[in-house]
Amino acid sequence: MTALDPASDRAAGPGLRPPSEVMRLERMGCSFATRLSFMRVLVRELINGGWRIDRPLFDIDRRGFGTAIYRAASGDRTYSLVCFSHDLPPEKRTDRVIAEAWDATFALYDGEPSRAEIERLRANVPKQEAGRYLASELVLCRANRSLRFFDHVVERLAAGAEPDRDLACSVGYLMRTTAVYGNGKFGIADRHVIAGRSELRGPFQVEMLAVYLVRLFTLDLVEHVARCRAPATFKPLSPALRRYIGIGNATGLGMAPFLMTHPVLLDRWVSARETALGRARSAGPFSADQRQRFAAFLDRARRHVGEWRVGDRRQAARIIELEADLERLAEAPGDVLAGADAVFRWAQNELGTEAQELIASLLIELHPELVDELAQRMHSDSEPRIEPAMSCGALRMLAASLYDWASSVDMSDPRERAVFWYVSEEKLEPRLGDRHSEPGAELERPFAVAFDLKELTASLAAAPPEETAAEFLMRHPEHRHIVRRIQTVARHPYGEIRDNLVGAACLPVDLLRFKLAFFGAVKFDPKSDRWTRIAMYQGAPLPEDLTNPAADDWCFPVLP
Amino acid sequence: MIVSLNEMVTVSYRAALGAGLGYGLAEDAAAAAARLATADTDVAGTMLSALRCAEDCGPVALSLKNTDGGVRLSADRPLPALRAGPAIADLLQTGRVSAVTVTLADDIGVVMAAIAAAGLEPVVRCEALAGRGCYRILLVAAGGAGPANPRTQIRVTEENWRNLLVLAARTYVPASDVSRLRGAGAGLSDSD
Repeated sequence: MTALDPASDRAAGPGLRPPSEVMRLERMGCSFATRLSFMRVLVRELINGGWRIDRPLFDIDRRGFGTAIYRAASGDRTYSLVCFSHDLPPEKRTDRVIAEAWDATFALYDGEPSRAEIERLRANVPKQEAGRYLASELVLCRANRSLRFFDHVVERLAAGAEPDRDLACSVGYLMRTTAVYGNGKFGIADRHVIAGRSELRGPFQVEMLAVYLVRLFTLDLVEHVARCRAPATFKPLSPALRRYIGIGNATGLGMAPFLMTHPVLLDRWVSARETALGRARSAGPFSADQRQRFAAFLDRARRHVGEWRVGDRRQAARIIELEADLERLAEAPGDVLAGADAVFRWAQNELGTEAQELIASLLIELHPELVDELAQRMHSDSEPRIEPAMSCGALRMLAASLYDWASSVDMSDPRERAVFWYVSEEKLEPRLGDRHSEPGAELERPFAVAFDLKELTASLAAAPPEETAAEFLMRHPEHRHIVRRIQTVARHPYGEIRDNLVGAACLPVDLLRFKLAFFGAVKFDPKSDRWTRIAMYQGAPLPEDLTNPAADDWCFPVLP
Repeated sequence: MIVSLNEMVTVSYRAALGAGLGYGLAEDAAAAAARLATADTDVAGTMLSALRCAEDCGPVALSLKNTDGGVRLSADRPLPALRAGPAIADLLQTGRVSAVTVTLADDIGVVMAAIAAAGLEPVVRCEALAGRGCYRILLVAAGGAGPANPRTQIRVTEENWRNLLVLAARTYVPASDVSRLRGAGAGLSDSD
């Protein structure tokens, strides 16, 4: 049983959605951000914690190159984003796989860096992975300008005009990050350095803080360059458009294996979201105020979806269906809108998966008083463990009940084992290979769960039922990882993706969207089955907004 | 040089795979490295020796024999610590075994780190027995020291670290034109 105790929530209300429903790739690939998403949690911390954000250094030349520092302070702690903005020649923009230079590189520093520290960072941060870092650095990241939008905004602001609204909507950011590293990468601080700090205890909070500050830098940078170009005619971005513009990101396969290698954490995230939905559905009929707020959220979400345009045919078709589904909900009879549970049941029966997940997000949004505290339960420092006292008979039964989905995988069909996950020698990053045409399958990562389970089951069948797992694993160390996984998932039922991740039908972009939705990303824009572009912090309050408690209301951002 | 705990754990896992340990034992090796890192020891050097020993020993068939007050974990040769540690930790958690005797081919410290990684640190004691590499590990009453705080700055010699990376590199798949284009699935421009 998880620490969240889903059983008690099940008894208290209409019940949590089971893992067999939630942890399927098709549904995971329809995920939306919620108010428990990590960017939302960070912004609430900035608001409720009375954070002060300023810019003690902005030594940037008229073309936009130089050094800047953004300082974020909470209580007696200060964090500094050290920004290096570079002149990137066009020939270095062409191929991200071999990229060794970027428009801007950043390090989030723990405290306020001295002049000597800034120089040390200047010698390393622009090199990113090729540099070395200390525990005083909490996050390392980089970003490139959007050639579609950055120069356009400079030109328009320099001329005293607002950027083109359609372009602002279709791009949504001035720069996009291409990597954000935390937790000990290249020598930076391990997560446990900040795990005890209440302001950054939640998952990925320090990375979210860094990206929030990067967004501020991009906004200041574009205005600075425009002002330098034409000081007499320059006008800054309107506050509303400034707030609308987010920071972009493109995410590839590197993010996906995390979901497989962190089952306890994955369970915490999903348990919190499902508990939030369960609580919202248990809250009884809508009050007049809630009905009005739900209608307002729905209206905003419909506008947001209307502004969500992608080239990917699969996602474009889903968006069209989603728009139609949301229209049906808006026009649904009054009894459908009687309360959260009625809305959700109707959506489950009548609407597509994208709409169901979006409505789940809206219902969670309605009840901050019921759900916000769940954000405190989304982190975990515990690791998957073997339970050696379990008998082989019990282990067999456990595997059969938890992994019933695996029995539907046809092991004799080559398409069910078409791909393999590996670490590339060139980039030390996760990659996906074709098992039948590319070399390296013998070095695959252990993500062929259904196949590992089959081999375990065969070995267990030959073991005495009363034998302990300890004795069994002593003879069969090759099964340690899958036994550890099964026993961990028994305690953390949302910790397993219940689909075959090495089959030809697996679309890694579904994993990416799921994880990015938990981060709080919007405007998922798949560019292949293996990577997606997104916008982060679109519509998020700016530092000057943080004293306003209403600033937390920024879900489903729309063009102002 | 200085490495982070996460780097040590990640490289230890990959190096263990590179040394021929299976996925599960590699996970245990990484956990043992994290425990070793709580003390001011030469973690990289210790792990490197343990991994080389495990590789040299190759696959080992373990068996159990009852002894006075416990069991003996045995094989046809002295056991590598990275193979014995997880097995002993498992046995001591069954509730059926209170002491395990073993003959090791290498460092008892790695065995104790594996046992500590399983959460048993406060309730075990190790006794050296007569004979090279012979030890008895006993469950004792609770009350020992709890887990130490993890360290974030781990000092390693460049040579040890490089050799761990060499072992880890055995698990990497070389790039090809196909993998560069298709493997990551990313686009060719980051300036959109």
